[in-house]
Amino acid sequence: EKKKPQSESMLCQYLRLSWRTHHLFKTPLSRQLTRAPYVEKRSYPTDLYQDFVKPEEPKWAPTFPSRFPPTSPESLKDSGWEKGATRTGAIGVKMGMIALWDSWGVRHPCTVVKFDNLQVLQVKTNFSKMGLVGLQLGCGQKNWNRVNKSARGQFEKAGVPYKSHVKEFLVSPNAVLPVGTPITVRHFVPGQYVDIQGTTIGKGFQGTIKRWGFKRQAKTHGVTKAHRKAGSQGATGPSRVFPGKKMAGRMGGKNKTILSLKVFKIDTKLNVLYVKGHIPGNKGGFVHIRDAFYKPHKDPPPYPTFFPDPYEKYLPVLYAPDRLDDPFIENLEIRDIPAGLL
Amino acid sequence: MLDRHDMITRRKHIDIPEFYVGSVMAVTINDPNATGRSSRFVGICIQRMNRGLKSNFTLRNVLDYQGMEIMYEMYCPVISSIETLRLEKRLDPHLLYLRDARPEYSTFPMDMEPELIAEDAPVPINDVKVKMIDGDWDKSWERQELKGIDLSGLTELQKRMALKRKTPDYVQYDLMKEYRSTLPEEDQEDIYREIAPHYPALVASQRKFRRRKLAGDA
Repeated sequence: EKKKPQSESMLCQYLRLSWRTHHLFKTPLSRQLTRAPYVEKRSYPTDLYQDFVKPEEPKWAPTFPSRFPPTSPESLKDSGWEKGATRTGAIGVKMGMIALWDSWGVRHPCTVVKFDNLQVLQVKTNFSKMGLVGLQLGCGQKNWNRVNKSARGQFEKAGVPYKSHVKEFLVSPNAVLPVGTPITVRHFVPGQYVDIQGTTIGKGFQGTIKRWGFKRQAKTHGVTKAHRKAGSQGATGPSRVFPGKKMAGRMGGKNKTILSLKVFKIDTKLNVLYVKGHIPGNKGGFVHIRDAFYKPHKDPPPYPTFFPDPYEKYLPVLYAPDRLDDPFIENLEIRDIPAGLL
Repeated sequence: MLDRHDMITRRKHIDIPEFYVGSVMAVTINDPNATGRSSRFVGICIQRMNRGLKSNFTLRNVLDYQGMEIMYEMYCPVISSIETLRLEKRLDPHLLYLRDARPEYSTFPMDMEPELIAEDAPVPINDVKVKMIDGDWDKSWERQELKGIDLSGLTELQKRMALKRKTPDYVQYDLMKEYRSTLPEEDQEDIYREIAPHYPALVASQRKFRRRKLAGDA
């Protein structure tokens, strides 16, 4: 055990022994002397309790109905959906891009996202964040000899075939689903907006021009070996480079969210979504899909998820409703917009 | 696979006839802002791009001394009909040089009637050598290997430059270029297997369109 110094002079000597290794410490000597000694503090009195006891948190017990009602336009009003409720997201696989035309003749480039064996694995109600509760989903397929022992236990407990990708979504306690329920493409409504998260394509180690959009220097006029270099790294005054300075490094391979993408078409036989625009990641990559945060539903969606009515026939392919005004006319006075839309 | 499926479903609703670069065609569109909700355009096909779902072709015509080119996407649902009024081929893969040619080679009457050919007859090839305008051309057509241009009015400098840019002879021995231009047989068989279930429906719809056309003419 080190002897604690009793006076300031002894403290200085004590610290100066570490001066030889000063380059390993970031704080300068002056700041070490002025810093207060470390004292362990807790907000609750530690003398009374020998072992730390967590304060009691409210426990959410999932209340599953005995029979889930089928989702038809009449039953959607009684499903328990409110305007602020969050329902589950979904995990999809990016398949590629295709173009769709609407009835006005406008061409929309869309990505195709497939739902591959999507099932609920776990319901986590022992915590609540912002009043929301956890629902774990699994997607994809995996060989039994490739699955971890710990993951194997997770899937066997749920009674579900092995999945390759698992993700947890925060969900309002109203929208909790029993373990094993499949989530199909009809969970989403054509015409709604959606937020999509995925890992971007990895570009490897890239320079500042590609990574941060720096401008390259002149190709001629005397520039010596610095055509694609970053140039200056800061001003003279601070005499240092600020942390977070944009420099060359690994680009891509990160998690990114794209907000408010429109769902144009749903194919229930192939279990496929057509989403307008671009999605992060490569073909075959997993993406997390949720209802858009900034463009919420106006009409009640299938809540908590879509359950088919055995006595009703559904169309295999669903399209988003077209816009009512002509997109090729710019002058608003000429456009034939029905009253109540503007 | 999905775009092939979309192309097949579109072909069941509309008849896309046989046509080549150089054939005169008429296309009618559903245009909500036009009188009678449809507009018809007649023109010579100067370019054809086969790109799957976004395959397109451009038609050129000269109306009121103004040259006009319109690009149509073959599988766009706005198109209501495509007809070939004159089926023929030209010597070049594209006819973009008609922009710098004399206007008589690009003018076609809007109420042109279809010229019928026997079904078994081979497609006629037009050997026309198009005469160009005297002024500046948009592109140096003499440098591209185009067989349908009349190059008698060139200056000596232009002739020398034309010989410079000629593609070398060894390009004909490029095996990879030939390989890349076609699909291998195994992949072709996969595609035919995909299309096979839809083939009877496609043939039936083509017969239906032909019957409607003949009934309309008669």
